[in-house]
Amino acid sequence: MSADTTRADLRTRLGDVDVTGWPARVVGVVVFFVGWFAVASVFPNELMPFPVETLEVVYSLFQSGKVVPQVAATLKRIFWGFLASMFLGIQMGVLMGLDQYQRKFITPHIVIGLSAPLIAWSVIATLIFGFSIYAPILATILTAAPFIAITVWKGVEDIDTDLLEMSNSFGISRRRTIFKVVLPSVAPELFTSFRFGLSLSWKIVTITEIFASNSGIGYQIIRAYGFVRFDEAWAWAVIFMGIVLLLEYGLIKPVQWRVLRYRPDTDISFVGGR
Amino acid sequence: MASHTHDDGSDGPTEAAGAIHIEDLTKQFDTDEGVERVFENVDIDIEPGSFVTLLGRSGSGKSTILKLVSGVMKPTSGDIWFEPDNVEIGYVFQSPRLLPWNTCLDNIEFVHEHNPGYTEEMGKEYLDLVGLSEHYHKYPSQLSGGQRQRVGIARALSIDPDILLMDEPFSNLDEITAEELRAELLSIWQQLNKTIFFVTHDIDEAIELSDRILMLGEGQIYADLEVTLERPRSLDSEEFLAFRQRAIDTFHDV
Repeated sequence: MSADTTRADLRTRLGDVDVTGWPARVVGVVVFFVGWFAVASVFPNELMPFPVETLEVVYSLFQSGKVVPQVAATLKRIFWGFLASMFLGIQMGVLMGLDQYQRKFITPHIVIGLSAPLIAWSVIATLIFGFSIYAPILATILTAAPFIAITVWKGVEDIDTDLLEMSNSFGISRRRTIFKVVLPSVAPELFTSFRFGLSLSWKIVTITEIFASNSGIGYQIIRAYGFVRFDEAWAWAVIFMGIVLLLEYGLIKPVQWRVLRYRPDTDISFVGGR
Repeated sequence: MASHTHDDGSDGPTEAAGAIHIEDLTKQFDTDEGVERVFENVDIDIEPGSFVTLLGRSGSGKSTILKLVSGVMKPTSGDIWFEPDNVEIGYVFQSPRLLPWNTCLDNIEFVHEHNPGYTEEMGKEYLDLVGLSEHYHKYPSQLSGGQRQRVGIARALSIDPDILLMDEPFSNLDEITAEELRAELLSIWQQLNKTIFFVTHDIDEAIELSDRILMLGEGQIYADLEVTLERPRSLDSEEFLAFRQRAIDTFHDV
């Protein structure tokens, strides 16, 4: 294909086949599995199993009834950690966006939160709370809240003051202005922080489970590693990825498309489309 | 909130119009360099149902006067009052200021928070009035600049205002679209008989539209011209050109 071949040219060549929607995703998944197969061919089988073998282990884990309680334990920690991070991060972001003094006060905390490595918070939270649920929750807050705050801050700062003035000139109440003007204004940033915060929560909770838990996906991975069951460790990792993809395509993207559908195509494609 | 119901019980725009009285109005801003006075002791009286234009250069304080009249900004001193006391004021801005996440109809619905009688049919009626009957459910990003400004006008008219404030509403549009909208605005004004307080820096636009032109400069209203030309006004008629020359001479007097 020549360098100046455009996507439109490609579409013309392929006739009515839309290569930018679901077919593109299917091709992406197929390429992923082919890549996995290729890498697994290089490594010894006991270190890295092939995709089909891994999927068989996943199936057997489901059959044994282990998956649901372990996933539920991880999801519970993520839920509380993520909720607390969003609550704190949004408030910090809004305060930073509203006032220069508040921004200067909060910024050092954000910088500290952003600069410390993920695993450091995990270790610190474990040292403080041991095996309790509070360790992953605290680690999640310390990791995700600063990212959420930064994103929401930019959103609040960029609210179109002309729209607020329009609302004021028509005598619209504060409550309606918040729900109809302010929140939709920051919706793209809220989605970004939601998605980013959730992915960070997944990672930090799983890491903390490795250190300080006797349940959850992270614990199962380290346990499989301890028993030199690498195929099982891979299987748990695949289950983890499956849940993330399910949330992304089953929940976040449809809601995001619905909320942001007013935006021109360029913006929709920026957020990933449908 | 002004009534949206005619005497015969039908919904829709009424011919209610209000008077504006401005007395000794002064506005100043505190800046890093000290106090900046925008205008001082301004007096304006606008009759109900009239079309009055405030003409001035950029930065002369025209838009500030509209903001003070609308109540979104407070004066440093002076009084603004209306007849009747509880007038409804509609505001059309230089840029349409539509909520991009709302359709045309939802943008109109947004300003009807205090109007429990508002129905979607009323919103459609006002969109019809400005020629957007095919675009009820479109988002602003799907409309042209002129169509967006039409939605802004429909939104302002939909609250059935006694007074319509218009802040250079056509200055961001191409001349052909602006001319179309001026003609439509005049038609709507003659139909509904609202009081219109219009701001522009375009002398031709001021003469074409207005009953009276107030010239603002150096912090004062320094001229009050009554436009006696018959409507519809042709921009290349002798009378128009003669009046235009007089207005330009007066404009440069300051």
